[in-house]
Amino acid sequence: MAAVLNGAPVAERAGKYLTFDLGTELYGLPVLQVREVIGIQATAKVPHTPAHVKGVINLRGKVIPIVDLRMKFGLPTAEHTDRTCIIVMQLAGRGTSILVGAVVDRVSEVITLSAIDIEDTPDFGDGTTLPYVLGIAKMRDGVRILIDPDCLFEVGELGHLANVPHGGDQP
Amino acid sequence: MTRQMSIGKKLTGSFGAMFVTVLGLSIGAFWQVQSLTSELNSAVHVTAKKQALAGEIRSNTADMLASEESIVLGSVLQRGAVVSQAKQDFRAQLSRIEQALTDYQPLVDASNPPAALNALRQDLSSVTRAHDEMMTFLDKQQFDMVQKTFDETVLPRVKEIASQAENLVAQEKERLSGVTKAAEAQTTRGTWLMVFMFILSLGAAAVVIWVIHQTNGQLRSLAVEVAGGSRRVARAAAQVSGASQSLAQYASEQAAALEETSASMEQMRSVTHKNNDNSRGTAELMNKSMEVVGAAERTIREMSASMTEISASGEKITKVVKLIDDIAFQTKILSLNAAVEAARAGAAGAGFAVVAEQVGHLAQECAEAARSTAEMIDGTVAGVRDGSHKLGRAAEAIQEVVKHSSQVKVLVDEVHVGSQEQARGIDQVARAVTQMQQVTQKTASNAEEGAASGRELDGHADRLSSLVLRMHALVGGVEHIDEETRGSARTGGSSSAPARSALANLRQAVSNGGWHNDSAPVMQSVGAVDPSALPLDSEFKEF
Repeated sequence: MAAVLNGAPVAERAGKYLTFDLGTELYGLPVLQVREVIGIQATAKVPHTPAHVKGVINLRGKVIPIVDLRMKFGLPTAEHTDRTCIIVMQLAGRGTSILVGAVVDRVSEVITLSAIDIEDTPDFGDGTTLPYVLGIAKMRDGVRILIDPDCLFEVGELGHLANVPHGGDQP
Repeated sequence: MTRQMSIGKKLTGSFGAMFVTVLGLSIGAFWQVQSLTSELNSAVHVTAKKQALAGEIRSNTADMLASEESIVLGSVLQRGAVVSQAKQDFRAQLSRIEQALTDYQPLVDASNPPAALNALRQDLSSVTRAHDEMMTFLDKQQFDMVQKTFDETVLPRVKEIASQAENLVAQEKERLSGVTKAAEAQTTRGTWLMVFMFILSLGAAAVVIWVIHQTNGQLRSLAVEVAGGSRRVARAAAQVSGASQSLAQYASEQAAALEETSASMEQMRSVTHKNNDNSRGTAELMNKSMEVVGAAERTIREMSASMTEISASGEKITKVVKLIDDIAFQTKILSLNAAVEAARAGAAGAGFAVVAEQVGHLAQECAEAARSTAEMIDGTVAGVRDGSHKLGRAAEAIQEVVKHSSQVKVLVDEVHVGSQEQARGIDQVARAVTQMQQVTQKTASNAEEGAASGRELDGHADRLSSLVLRMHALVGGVEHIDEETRGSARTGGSSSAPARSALANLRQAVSNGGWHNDSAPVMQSVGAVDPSALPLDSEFKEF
């Protein structure tokens, strides 16, 4: 679906987005891929996982991996505040969907973007595209980078943490 | 030793020695003369008389012999007249001899042997008897018997008497020569004594002359010293006079200065009294301000407590706001989740999405209100903390003020006490100034008296100089002493010039009216003395 979206015309990318901040950077996430928003919780560190994988939490009986998006995006790490949240994303896995929690500094709002508000990702010169960027949303106070969560993680990046099958949750 | 004796003693001693010497000389001479006189008396009155008597006896004896021879011759020649004449002569001669013997008798002393006299008397009586016998024979006309008696008895007896008388004469002559020798010895002794006494008196005179010369020299040097002393006295008198005049002037100036001082003291007294009142008022004000400052300190303490309470309330409000903020955050997350669910529901959740959005907005506003409230509360708390801090400093400042105020109060009290003491001191100084004024006036009058005394002393010095001149005339050093005394008179005259100038200054000051009223009596006294001071010059010129 992410690939469809990425290569799709801009009109198809119009819709509702959950916006959040990482430091001073502003990001957007398609609301349909958001399962829910929860407050920050203590994570259980899992051995032999990448540094940006903080660990796992128990979300109402389900164990889901938690990823620090700052570390994932190469931004400097920061202490958690009372505004720090975890966005539980529903990723399209291999035939099934998996839930991954992303730690963000602040969750702003749910906005509705029309097609004219969204620009394609500009060419950075080497011809390569950034698959996890859906496009750039133009706002009054700047631009928001729209993230495609499905393309955010490589295969095996999350290890076996996300391979836990959980059927029935797919809408 | 002679220097230690007084002149009177010296002169008395000298003249006493002289007198004793002269007295001794006189006594010696008198004694010599007396002795010589007695010797001569004995020689003249006794020995010479005896000699004369003996000579008379001898001559009468010779006459008697001649008479007897005449009788014998007359009887032989039968010449009765001659015989009777001879008899009468014999009788007269006999009576003269007896008279001489009788006169001789008292002149005889123990040394003179009376045997010669007795022999003389016996011879005389035997001659008398022989004569009577001759007479008897003569009457009987027995001329040969007369002759025989004369030859046998009378002639030897008479010759015996003559020889006895001759012996007496020789004896008395010898005695007279002894007396003469004694007188000569006496004279020689007296001469030597005189010579000795003369030498002694010469020595005494030399001593007296030496003493007198020495005394004279001492008197002369004394006179010279007295002349110098009188000169110095004259100079000193002039200086005393000048100094007294200056003193009078200075005393008058001092009186004027004291008047000014008195006026200044009066001003100082009023200023000090005002200071006293001001310090009392300052002390009262300080008391009031200390009460006010104490009240302010209490108020600040209460205010500090209130601010502490405000701060505590602010913290509670902050907690509440935090809670509200948390609730708003939770509500926002809930609204987001609701929006997510509504979006997931698609068209069916569109209405819910709106609700969720509104709830999200409300939560946002609530969060913002809570944030602004928190900021305000934080500002309030910070302000309160700042205010509390400043209040603490204010309290410290006020405590400092209280401390300083108490110190100021102590100082003001001390100033008050000090001004009181100053007032008392100024009163004492004023009294002292008054006394000093009286003393200065007395000093001025005393200085005038001193000037008069100095002039009097000048006159005394002049008289002393004339006395010294007379003394020098007495001693005998008139010429050069006269010069010296004239010199002293000149110096005295020249040294009186400053006194005259001081007097002129005084008169000038009086005429200028530069004296204070209080010193007017002094100046009147100065003016009264002034005319008598001027004739000094003519006196000196006369001198």
